[in-house]
Amino acid sequence: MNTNFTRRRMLGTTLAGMAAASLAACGSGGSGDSGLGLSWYGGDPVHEAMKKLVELYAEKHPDADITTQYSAFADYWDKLATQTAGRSAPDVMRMSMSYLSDYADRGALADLSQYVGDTIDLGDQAPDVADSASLDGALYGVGQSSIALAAFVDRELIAQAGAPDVDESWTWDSFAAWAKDLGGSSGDLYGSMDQGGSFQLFEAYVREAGTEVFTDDGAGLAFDRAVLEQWWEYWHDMRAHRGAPPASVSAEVASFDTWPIAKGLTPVGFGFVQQIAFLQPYVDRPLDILTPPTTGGTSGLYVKSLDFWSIASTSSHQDEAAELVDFLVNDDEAITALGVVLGVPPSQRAIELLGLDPSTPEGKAVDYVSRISGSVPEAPPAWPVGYNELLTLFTKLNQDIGFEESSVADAVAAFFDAAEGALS
Amino acid sequence: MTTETTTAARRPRPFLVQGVKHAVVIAVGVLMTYPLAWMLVSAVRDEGGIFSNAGLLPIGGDFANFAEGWDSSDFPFSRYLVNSSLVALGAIVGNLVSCSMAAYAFARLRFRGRRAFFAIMLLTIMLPIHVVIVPQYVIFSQMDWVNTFWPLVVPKFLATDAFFVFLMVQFIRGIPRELDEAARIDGAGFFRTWASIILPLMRPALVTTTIFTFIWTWNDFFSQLIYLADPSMYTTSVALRSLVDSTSASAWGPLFAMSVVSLLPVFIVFLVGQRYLVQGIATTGGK
Amino acid sequence: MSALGELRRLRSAKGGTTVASKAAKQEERAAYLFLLPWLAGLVLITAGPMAISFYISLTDYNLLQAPEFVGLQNYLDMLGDDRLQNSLRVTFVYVFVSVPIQLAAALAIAVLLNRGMKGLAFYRSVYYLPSLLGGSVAIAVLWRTLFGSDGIVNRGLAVLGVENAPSWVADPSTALGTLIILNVWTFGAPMVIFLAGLRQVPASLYEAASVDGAGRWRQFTRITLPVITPIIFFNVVLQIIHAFQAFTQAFIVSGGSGGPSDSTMFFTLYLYQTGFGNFQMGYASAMAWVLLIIIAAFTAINFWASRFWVFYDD
Repeated sequence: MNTNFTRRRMLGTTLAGMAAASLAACGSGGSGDSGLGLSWYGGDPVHEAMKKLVELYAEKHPDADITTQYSAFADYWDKLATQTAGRSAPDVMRMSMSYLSDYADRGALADLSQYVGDTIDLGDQAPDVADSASLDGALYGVGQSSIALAAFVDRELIAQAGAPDVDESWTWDSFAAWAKDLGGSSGDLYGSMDQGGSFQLFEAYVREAGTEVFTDDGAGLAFDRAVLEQWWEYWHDMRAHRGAPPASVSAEVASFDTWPIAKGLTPVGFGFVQQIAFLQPYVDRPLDILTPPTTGGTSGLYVKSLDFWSIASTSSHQDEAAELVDFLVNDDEAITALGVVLGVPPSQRAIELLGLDPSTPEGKAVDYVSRISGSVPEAPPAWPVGYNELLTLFTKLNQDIGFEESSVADAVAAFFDAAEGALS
Repeated sequence: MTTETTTAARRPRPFLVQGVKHAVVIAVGVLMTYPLAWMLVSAVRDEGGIFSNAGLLPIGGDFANFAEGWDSSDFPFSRYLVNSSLVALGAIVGNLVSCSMAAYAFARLRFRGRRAFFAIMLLTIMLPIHVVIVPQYVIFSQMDWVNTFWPLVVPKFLATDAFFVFLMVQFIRGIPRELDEAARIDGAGFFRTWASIILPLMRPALVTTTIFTFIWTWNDFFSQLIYLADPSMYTTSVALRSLVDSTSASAWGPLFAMSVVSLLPVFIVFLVGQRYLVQGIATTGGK
Repeated sequence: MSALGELRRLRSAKGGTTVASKAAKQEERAAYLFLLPWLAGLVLITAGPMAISFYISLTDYNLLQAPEFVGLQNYLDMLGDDRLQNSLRVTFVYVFVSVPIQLAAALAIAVLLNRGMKGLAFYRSVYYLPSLLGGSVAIAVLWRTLFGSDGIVNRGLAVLGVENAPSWVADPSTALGTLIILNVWTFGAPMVIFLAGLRQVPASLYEAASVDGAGRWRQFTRITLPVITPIIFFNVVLQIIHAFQAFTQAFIVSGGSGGPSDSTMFFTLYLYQTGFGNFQMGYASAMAWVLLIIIAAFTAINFWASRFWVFYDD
């Protein structure tokens, strides 16, 4: 009896010990001692361009030994989380704003401020872009791009539908009236893509009134329940009057080819401006870029970077890693080789270096960012821990409303409840 | 048309019955082949055609997708095919040896804790991989096995695929006990009984294990993604998934072309393997 | 953990009371030798991570920092989690609808393709084709072209005069149904196992039966079915386990979201999102252990029931 008891206790402590030893900081660092690990996410064009950059870097630094890893966006995060848990994250990694706080807050990323101005030159980047990855006074990543939300407009389709043309003076109200009109009169078109589930466009909407989505410390929501209620009511009404497609059409959206604007179901879509380059190949008619509607002319947009190069805190080659990061964002040849596959370049210098034809989708995106950079309000701080959970929930709740599985009021309540648990 | 190859004692079946049977089998067969036919056709279509077209006419296409897909990554696609084959072969050998050993013990031998061990074995396949992969990764990374094929192959040599152990147990229990008891009485040890009586008699199960291990390893994605870091180690399933990205452009044409290429080995293995499945009967008493 | 307890109990119960004969001892030693690879795998690879995952289920663990012990909090939190309860419901519907249909189809086809027909090898391969696709990303696109709003199914319906049919994959009331169809359609694995089982039926039994003048249906119910009950049992147990853990197909077809409106949010998909998407591995591990208990309960019931209908030769 006695022996059994101690044996059980021993088993208990051993297990806890094993778990703690393997999962907590066990110190030994980096992705092995050989070479510098570089990882990124993206599709085929990103892989192609990044490999070119690595070759370029190897030419200039013959002593550098870079090992690469790459996956598609979704797979990338499973792998990175596992590697980070196992203390073997790659030295340099592509980091998304959606996950930045998750990783930075929990000590997985190195503070790069010590390298700024020295190894890493951020002089060419606008302050909002250069600061995009700063949290509590530390800098956890160097921006790869400058990004803003935009409306994509298929003017030829609007003309074909016999609807009046649109311009940037549109307000949410005039946009709704116009969209419902177009949808109602055409019979097989809808006014706009459904954006009720877009947490990002909602952020712009919230910011028009001067508030932010999150409190400064990232521990809670800063906007009023009524604002979210208005937003979801707005899109519910749009769906009811063919201003936006019914939920079952929007639920088919997966890759860019399935966007209703790509399928010619609607002349208006929304997204991050560089997405026009992925969207345009699926649309026969040229797409234009406009600023999204506003309530009273005050823009809620911002220009910042949403993707970064970050360095693992466990890396044992942080100095070399910083050098590589500087190369990736500042080297002339690297900038040219990369083009716009990671989005609109993060600095005006890079944009000029590329000298894109303004009639191409990429050229239009670059022009848009340059054009609005000076006029939009200051960018909000980095998205807080728990952002990702709220992002997917936001989309799901808008879907629930669209499928009549939930009332707007219930969805708002569910969102605020979840936010309380997710943010901390 | 009633050229029966089977026993003469069987009643000759009318032509009609055979005809109906064939008609049903063919009709259902069409439903079954549709996806592959569609994939083949998609592989030679240009991008726009893949989504707008559920039909099977190969319009606007050529074989450029194959050339593009083959060379779209760091390494020619053959590299990934070889990697996948290595992992699959290792897994097959491992599963055949270790699972048949464990199954023999569970099905035929008496030992203390048999039921408890069997229950534990079944329990091990009831936990979703997503919660054990992190601890497993930590273990393998401390052994410095990450970015090698070992984490994908070694567990198979340790009978961690309880599915196959259980499968073989069921098959062994279907073999009449007199056969191996006779061998034991003739003086054969346990090892010889296993090797020369049980294994030949459970050939259908071994063939099944071989086919499934190959196909499932070939198609497995999550653990290969997690353990293989260096692109030169990527398997076909990992390489294929890197072609499709929801946040940017996806290379659909090459994806379909290479999906077809990566399906060929599995299809061939199945074609060949199922033939042995049929032959299995010869050893258990003839047709 | 309870299994370990049982092991200990078995050990102490035996403790020197029975005098094992030499032969039995020899047999036992042989058994452990045959089990050696499996035991090594259990100790080195399987049991450790399982035990750790159980420990993690009692902690708050975000994958990046050391786990923090919280007792049963994760388990209690599940009681108030609506999305989790919905995911359980979705999973149960999936298991109880798709498994019986899939197994019946697999058995029927296996019997049909067993013997006495020309071109069997070819048909078998054809019937296995859908299962080869496995977790291919191509499935996502295929399912959309089949069951989308302008997919082939709706075009077929339009020919029959049904206009404006919904998008089957994008409607919460039908999306799960398309996944059940997908599962039934990939019946290749149980079919092959049934086929292998049918190989084991000694032909002499059929010969004896046909001499007795038994018809084909009687041969099937009196000879074939009883002999392959161990294999039917295997397929039932494993397909239920498999269906409870269903993940890949929903993950691929819904693009990882479990949508529309959580209608294809399987338990394991929610678990995955919680663990890897939201960095709540403690909660995800607790979910996994709840799933394990559910599956274990169903498996235990299956084993208990098997005494009434499964016939072994030993």
